[in-house]
This record gives sequence, C-alpha cells and structure tokens, in this order.
Amino acid sequence: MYGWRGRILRVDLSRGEVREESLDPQTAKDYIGGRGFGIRYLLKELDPACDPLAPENILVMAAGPLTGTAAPTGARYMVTTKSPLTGAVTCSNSGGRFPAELKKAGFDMIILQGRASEPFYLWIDRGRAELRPAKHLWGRTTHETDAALREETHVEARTTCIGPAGERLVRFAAIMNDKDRAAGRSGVGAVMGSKKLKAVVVRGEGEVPLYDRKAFRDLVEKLNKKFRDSLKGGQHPLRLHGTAVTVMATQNYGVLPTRNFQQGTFEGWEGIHGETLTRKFLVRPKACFSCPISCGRVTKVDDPAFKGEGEGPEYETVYALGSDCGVDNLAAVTKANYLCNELGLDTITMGATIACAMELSERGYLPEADVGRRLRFGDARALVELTRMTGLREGFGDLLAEGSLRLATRYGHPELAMVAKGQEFAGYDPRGEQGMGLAYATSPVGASHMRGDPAYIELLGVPMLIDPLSWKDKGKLVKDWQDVFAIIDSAGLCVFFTVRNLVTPTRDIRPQGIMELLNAATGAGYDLDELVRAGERVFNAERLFLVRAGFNRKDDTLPPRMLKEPMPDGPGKGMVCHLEEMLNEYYPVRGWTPEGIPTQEKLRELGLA
Amino acid sequence: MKIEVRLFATLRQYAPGGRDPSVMELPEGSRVAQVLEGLSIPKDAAKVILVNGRQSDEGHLLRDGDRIVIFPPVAGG
Repeated sequence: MYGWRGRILRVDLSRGEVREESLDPQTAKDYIGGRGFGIRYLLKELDPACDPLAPENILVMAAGPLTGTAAPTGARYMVTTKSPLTGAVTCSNSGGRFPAELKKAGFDMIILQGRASEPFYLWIDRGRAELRPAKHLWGRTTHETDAALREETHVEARTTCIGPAGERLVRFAAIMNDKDRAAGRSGVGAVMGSKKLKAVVVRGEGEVPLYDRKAFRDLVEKLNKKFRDSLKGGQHPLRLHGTAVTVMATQNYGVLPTRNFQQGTFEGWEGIHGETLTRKFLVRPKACFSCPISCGRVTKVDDPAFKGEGEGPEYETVYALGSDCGVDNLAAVTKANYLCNELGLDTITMGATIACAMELSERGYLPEADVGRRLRFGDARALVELTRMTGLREGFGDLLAEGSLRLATRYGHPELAMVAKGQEFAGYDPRGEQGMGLAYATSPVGASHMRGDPAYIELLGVPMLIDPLSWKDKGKLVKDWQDVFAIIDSAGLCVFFTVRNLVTPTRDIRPQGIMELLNAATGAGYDLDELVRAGERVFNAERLFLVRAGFNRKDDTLPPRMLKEPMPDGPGKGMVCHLEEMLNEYYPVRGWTPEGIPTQEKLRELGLA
Repeated sequence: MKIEVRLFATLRQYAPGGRDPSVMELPEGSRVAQVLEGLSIPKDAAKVILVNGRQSDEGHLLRDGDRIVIFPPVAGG
C-alpha cells in the first residue's frame, strides 16, 4: 500500500501479547485513517455499554495516510476510545513528532486492549514491537518519562505517555506525546492508565511510500509557495503570537467565556492575550512535523511564584485557566499549563472544572472546609495549587478529578457545569456564537471546538464571514463543517492549515485540496463525492456508537445558562442560544429522525446498515 | 467625530504613531473605508472588521464614539 502502511499492531495487555494484523484496502479507503479507523474498530469490536475503565474497553491510536509525509501539517494522529468523562465515544487529536515516527516505523495504528497486572510500555523499533516492564516509570511525570525512555531505547525515539493523572484515572487525563503535545480531551489518558500502559516509544526509518511521488511533490511545492506568498514577506499571525491571539477576537465579539460563562467579556483580557504572551514569556515558536505555521510556544516564566519552563499556553488554555476562572495573571495560567502537561491533564476541563468550583463556592453551595481554602474567582494561587492537587488526586483535587458535571452534581447544582454530554465547553460562549452552540450539542465527543468548528466562519473570517448572532441556516453549515473536520482528522492533517488552503473558500468547504493530496499519496482514486461521503460516514459511525450506548436528542443539549439566561454583556447582550430551532433544521439535513437517530436509509447509503 | 481604533497581530504595524488603542478624528458621514485609508492599510490585506463588536465592511457608516477593531483572519484553537 501507499500512504497507508497496511500494518496494525494489536496489543493485548491482559495476555502480554503483541501481534500484527493487516489493513484491509477497502476499509482504508472508506474510513481514510486516523479518526475514521478509530471509530471503525470501536464499532466492530466494542460493546458500547461497556465500562470505559474496564479491561474490555479498547483504545486505538491511529495515524492518517498523510501523517509522516511532506503534506503541510501531515503530523497528526487520533486516539479513539470510550470516554470515562462522557460515556460516549471520544477521539482526541495531537501533532508533534510521535505520529509521523509511528508511520515511519511501518504502522498505521495501534489497538490496545485488556489490562496488565503491572505497568508496561510498548517499544516499537523500526517495524518490530515488544512490551517492556515500566514499574520504574510509574509515578513519574510526562517529562521525566520521555527523558528516561529515550535514554533506555534510542535518543531519537519519540514517546507518547501518561503522567500521574492518567495512572490515577483522573477522568480528563491526557496522553502527552513529545513531552508537551496533548491528545488532551475526554480522559483518553485514564483509559491508558486503566490498562497499565505507561507509554509507547517509537523509532522509525526512511520515508512513507507514496503512490505518485512526483505528483505529490509538485502539490506540496505549490501549497508551500501559496502559503509563503500569502504572508507577503511578513509572519503568520499564529507564528507571531500563537493561538492565544484569538483572545482579541472572542473578547471583541463578546464570546470570551468569563467566570464560568457568567459573562462574555473579561476586563482582564489583555493580561492573557497572545500578544502579551509574546512580550512576556515567549522563548521561540515551535512547529510540529511538516508544519509551515509554527503556532507552538516554547515559553519560560521567571516570576518566582510561578517559575517554570515548557510549552504553551494555547487559546483554549488561556480561556479555561484564565478568563473562565477570572484570572488575568498570565504567569499563573502558564504555570498551571506546565503542571497540566507534566501531570498529564486536559487544560480545558481542568480550568472549566476549577471555574465551576469557584462559582459553587461563591454562591455558597461548596463549603470552605471541603476545599481547604476560601475559593473565589481570580485567585491565581488557588488555580495553580488546585491543578497540582487534581493531577495527584490529593484532597479536594480528588473531587475536581471527576470533572465539573460530577462535581456540580455532588453539591446539588448540576446546572452550573458548563458541559455538553458531560464534557466542558471550549472557549466560545454559544449565546454570542449560535453555530458553536449547535456544534457543542451535536459533537459526538461532547462539547468541543475540534469536531466541526464554526468559529472559523462565524468569528475569524476563514474562509469567509457569517453573522455569529444569527441561528438561521446554521444546521446545514454545522453539518458541512463537522463532515469536513472528520476528513481532516482522518487524513492526518491539522485544521489550521487545511481550512485555509485545502478546502474551497465556500460555505460548504469542499475538500478539493485534501483529495488531491490523498490521491497522489495513496492511489486510492477518490472522487470529491466519495471523499465527502467518507467524512459523513465517519461522523455517522460515531453517532451510531452513541445511539447504541443510549444517547439521543435529549443528550444533544446545553446547560440552562445557555438556553435561558440572556447574555449580560457585550455585542451579544440579551441573547440566548437558539438550540431547538437549529436542531430542527440540523436533523433533517443529517438524514436523522427528529429524535436524532440516523435513519436506515442514511445508514445504508453510507454502508453502515 | 471621534472613533476608537484597535489593531491586532500583523495589522498592528498600521497603528498611527504606534499608539494602540488610538482615537481618530473624522468628519461626520465618514465610513469604515476612510479609516482604512487613514491608517494606510493595503486594500488587499485580508482582515476582519468589527464595529462595536459586529461584523462590518468598508461601506459601513460610522457614528461618533464607534469602536473599530481590525484583525487578520486567524485560524486558532
């Protein structure tokens, strides 16, 4: 095979076995790779009703056909499993260098199943794989683990691992690769921890074989030239200031979540803005494999109270640990981000859960004795300390480790958890950005900005602008974006480059450029309709898993704050999220029943019946 | 009339005298286009224009006290 390596590693932790399987070419074409492969194997092999932290759950790490190639941003892999945070399917995405190395070692994906009696790591060395004892690494941070494993195996090997949070089954533990890149969301790290797998270490060689090397090289050169020309001699805004530059957009639209979504503007926004990060803490930008943008931030904080070095923060992190907690101290936000990376925690759910605790406390629902301190919005020291305690499940951190919905439910106020399907919102208030509300409610993984992100078109002008306050025609728009994101996530590309350069600049964003790269790389001969259908297939396969796990329309919802409490400030003042109107448009466009169930006709059309 | 202007990221270089935020004095009846010309922002520079937090364009008629925010299209997350 070309593009795809055609080989799968199946690791049974219960038996201590590693064996190889081959990838079926038709499955490869129909599901593309990455996210598509993940849901394909989950649907085939996993009981949707299973306990996510039981040995029966499986966890799939899958690269795409463009991962590890010279395709711009061909750096990404997807971790798919049943989530201990939501009980739904989850797919959590990351870049860096590990995914490309996995492809170079000769594999498209790893399927993890079972549970070991003591800790192991998986060592993949140029096509061969074995389980090795990892008792000596249990309890170590992600940075310590990365260093120890590269010393133990090969200095140029790449790692993906869990930290103490994953070992302790924190429900939003991340899997961290290359030290600071995160498959962050929905507790994929807890599932890995439940299996007692500390890390996967991989060393590859050579290049990913391509179907038409010349055509592929020509496409890549053309794209890189187009990218360079678009800069007109200047710098890309994301290279200049990182993704945290997005604060200036969300603040000015009035959708920057503040104090657990009680407001849409934050008086301290300039403190957490990307331009401030550049001025105060940036050491240098950092790129993932094959990426021309370099949005990553290598940073350093000298402030003695929050001293540290590492990577980040990104936009979602400065919202969650910053404005959502009422904290404008970027040193504290950055320090909490470092702790999340080292302990292996999702920064979004971490921040949003602390924000929820702060509101519970301010309203008198959370006793001071339970927290061990007086908890108020804006407390930068509490932010950092509670993050550390959560990663180790110490004291009150043990309750925070369950996520905001379980925390708020425990104290009698589940309505104060800003979640969809039990997962915390990304950094956009759906009252001021209506399409995002629909995307949160219908995302298969619970609230997410990465499973179809209307912010590009509602706020950021990529590839065009439409009014964020209107809810008309958002059903079709969100469907199209969800399906194209499924293609991007399956191909192994990054959204940041792709939405600007590899899709048509039209509302329905047809994946023309992705198709050209896929065909040159794989020889699979996709036509545009086939590729669009593959994206729709992946999204519907995820929905099918949810339906079998008992989800339906009642779960496609948002907290009452979004649906009933008018936005108190900013350009969206007075707005609520018009979710019902949008759902009524969305389900028919999807070919789902009014209860949100894919019809037999739709499933047959997609080969899922 | 007085218009407050804020420029971000790669468009910051066009801030008058490097000041940000800045206040521009414009005759009554001015439109967004006059602000862009006054700041010497190239016509072909990709940009998102907000007036008082709402999406806007060059033809938008300005009123005293309006707040204009201009930034390059960014794709972040």
